[in-house]
Amino acid sequence: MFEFSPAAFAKRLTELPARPAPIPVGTYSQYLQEHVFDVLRQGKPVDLTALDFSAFSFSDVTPDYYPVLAARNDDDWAQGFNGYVKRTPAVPCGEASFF
Amino acid sequence: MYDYAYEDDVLSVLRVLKLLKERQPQRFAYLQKAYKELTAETMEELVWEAVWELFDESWNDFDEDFETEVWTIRDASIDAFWGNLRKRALASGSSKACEGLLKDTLAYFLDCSGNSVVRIECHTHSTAAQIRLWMSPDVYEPSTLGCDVVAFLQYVEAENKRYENQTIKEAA
Repeated sequence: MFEFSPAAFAKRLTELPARPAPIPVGTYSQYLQEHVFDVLRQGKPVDLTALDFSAFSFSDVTPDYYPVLAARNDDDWAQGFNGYVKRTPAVPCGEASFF
Repeated sequence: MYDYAYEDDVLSVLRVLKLLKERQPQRFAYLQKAYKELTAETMEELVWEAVWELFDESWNDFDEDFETEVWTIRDASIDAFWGNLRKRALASGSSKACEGLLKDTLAYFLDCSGNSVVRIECHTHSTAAQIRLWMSPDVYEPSTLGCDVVAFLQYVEAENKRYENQTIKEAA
């Protein structure tokens, strides 16, 4: 009969890929304000060849909705996982599997 | 934040282009020359094209049964991620789990917006993974898909680096 081994379970958890970090809320960039949005607001196109992509970070180009969407997606997956765990019988399986 | 009607779409395009410049600078330069300007009219087309250029290889065909576009992608960072998953799974004796993990990772990110990708298939062998993505026939949201793909690739690259550091630490 197999016994639950906390050490083996903890070791298995460390072998799994890391949980994705939350997408941070976007930050404001003065560069984007002047060189992109002020230009577009005037009805003019933004010159892609002149835009300096090193002048802003990924945080500066995070849409407002995206961190919220990503956090909701994470919650949905956690709920789905909980649903699986609840349906798992509390008996030894005899092989290495969770579900 | 910027008081512009299509602010989120513009930020999504720039997000994808920024990652494209890092990962595939020649393709970025090609798109820069091809499009030259960013306008409200060309944004969607530009981000759709830029998304698929993020991967080392990508091509599309048409599924007659589902009546939808299917994209096939291959990338060295995805191959490395798959390789690491497989090594971990073999070491812990659960070799069946790694394909499921790869598909779950893809579904976690690419299904984030819940609209653009309706089906994912992974075709793997020991050192490489080929991903097939069925696009929704009803929804076309290239900006959101772009953000999802950027998040996925950044996660995969961070994981590859973490696994590499862990391996070096264990070998020391």
